[in-house]
Amino acid sequence: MADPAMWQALSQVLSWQSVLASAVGVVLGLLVGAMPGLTISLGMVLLLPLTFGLNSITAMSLLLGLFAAGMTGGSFSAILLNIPGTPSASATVLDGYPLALTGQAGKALGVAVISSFYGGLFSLGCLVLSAPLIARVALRFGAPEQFALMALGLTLICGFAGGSLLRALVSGVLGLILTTVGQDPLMGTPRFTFGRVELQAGILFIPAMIGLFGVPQIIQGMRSGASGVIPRFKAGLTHMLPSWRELLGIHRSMLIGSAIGTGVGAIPGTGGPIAVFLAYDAARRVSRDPAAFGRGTMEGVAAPEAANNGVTGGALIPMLTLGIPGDPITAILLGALIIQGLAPGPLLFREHPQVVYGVFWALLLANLVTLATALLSVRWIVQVLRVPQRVLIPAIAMLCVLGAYGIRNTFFDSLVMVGFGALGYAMQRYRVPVVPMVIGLVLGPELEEQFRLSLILSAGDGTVFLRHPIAAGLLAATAVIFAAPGLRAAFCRWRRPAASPESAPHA
Amino acid sequence: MERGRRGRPDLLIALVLLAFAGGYGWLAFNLPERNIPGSVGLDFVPKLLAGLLSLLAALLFVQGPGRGPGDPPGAEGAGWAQAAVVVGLMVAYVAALTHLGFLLATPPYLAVSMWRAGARHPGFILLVAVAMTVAARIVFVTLFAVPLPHGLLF
Repeated sequence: MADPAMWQALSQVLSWQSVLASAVGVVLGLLVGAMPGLTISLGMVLLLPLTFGLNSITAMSLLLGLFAAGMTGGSFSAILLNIPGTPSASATVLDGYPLALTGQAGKALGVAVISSFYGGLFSLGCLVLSAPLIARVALRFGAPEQFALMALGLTLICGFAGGSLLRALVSGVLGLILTTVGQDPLMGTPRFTFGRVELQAGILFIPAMIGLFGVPQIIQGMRSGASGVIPRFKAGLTHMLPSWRELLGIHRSMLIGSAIGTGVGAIPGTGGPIAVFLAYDAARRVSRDPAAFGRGTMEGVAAPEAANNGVTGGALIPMLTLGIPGDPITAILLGALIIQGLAPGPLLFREHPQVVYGVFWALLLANLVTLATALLSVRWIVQVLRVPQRVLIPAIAMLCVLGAYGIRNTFFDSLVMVGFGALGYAMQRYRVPVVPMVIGLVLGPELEEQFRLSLILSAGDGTVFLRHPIAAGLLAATAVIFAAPGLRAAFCRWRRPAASPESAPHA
Repeated sequence: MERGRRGRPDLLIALVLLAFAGGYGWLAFNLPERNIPGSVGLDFVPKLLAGLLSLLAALLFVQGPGRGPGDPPGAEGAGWAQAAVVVGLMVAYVAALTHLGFLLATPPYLAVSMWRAGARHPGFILLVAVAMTVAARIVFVTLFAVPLPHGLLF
């Protein structure tokens, strides 16, 4: 507690610039989260170019404000419109909307906001306690271990991407291939640049991410021009805040949701949508009234809302300690730190502890500001649901172009963004997930560097990865994930050898 | 029949990926050999990735028509024509930014996009397009000191 870097970071987070940035991030996060069709990833990636002129802690305050508040804002449309504002609010509709139908929308919104705050604080506590320990262990990792860890992280993300592992792997490998464009990470020799100066620095992943996440949403949004119809509800604090007795009644659900959200968030490739349903199911199992779930119970709102904000701190654990982003949001946060000249990973804890503490404080500030802003201004925030898509979508398209341009002030990046947007749309149509590609784009250069460094340090001996026990273990886990679908299919065939051809699932 | 129709894009993707992997591999094999002694060169990882992508594409081809057991249904909604219009408009906007600059290129782009998205009242379109342009300039340039394109004219 006597670490001076901690207090330096606190003073920076409490500067007027950082507090203002956090407040702006929170308001934008609540708006983005509340609007169905807009994702937190898109909001963050559009905000990223605006952080270039800010210092690292102010930039983190802005982005973490949007991250934490976006998770909370997703519950607004879930409760009021029966449409989750973000995928992480999918489970909130199950009980939130039935509560709204019975005239308890205000109370449901209040429980959602308080549960989100609870989940956010719980995960922050876990982050603060575990991150320095993990970073200390990770500091002992050499190049083979780092390579194996990144390979495992990327494979896990492919495994959890949804759909077939094969398509997810294709997406991840394409992401890695794209990172080979530009100067090679060890010798600086240009590769695949075709004589273009713009390609010397490689394909920047920020324009790629803006395109992959933004353009498909613009294409989809161009079709639906209408806005939502918000039901009337009482938004005063007295109508929203639960009583102490009600809080005690939902406390267990909040605790379960927070623990599951934090744990799931820490696993690369999982994230909010998985955590909320796990939390909802676990809360229902331990509830004194499980039959009320799905018909409108505050416990059914509290558990998923605590879980999705629990994800925020959990997801930062591998990103900060190992430099492995578990989802697009942490990939954007990682990108923001890289732009600031910082390299997330164990060395960040040793070389820039004030930045690490700054992230901790900024996340605490984000949760506090979200609690206050959401409770006091929900009646105005939800008015954003009235904004027609026909106005919103062109504005997002403009921001995508300008955001990509703003990175290096070149139109080339804007065109790269548009190209990746078209690719993202095609991938969506052909059921190829884009998240592995994004993570491949982020991890690619480091993955190649550590791989080649391992071989250089071992004088070209490929068994270096097997001679290091941790690296060998991580690579074995990677191999198991690769082989899992085949092993599962073989096991099913072995269990049901006499199944008739008609009953067999189509390949 | 349905299964066959659904399978055609899968085979097409596999073939496109194979062709891409082939082209990329060919480029990788033509990279200059500048190796650190006792290690692999800058061409090693690209060759490895080309091989891996070829393998995955071949597996996708062999998996054949139809969806795999874990596959979600394809994205519903907007078609290729809509996608082409959106992408075309964005490319035109980038080209207009290059020559006209932000202040002259943005209102027409926003107006056309709003029209495409279903807005029909000319006064409303004009007002919103101009207001959004001004707001974007204030946020980017004044608040966050992020420069916007000037173009050749303005």
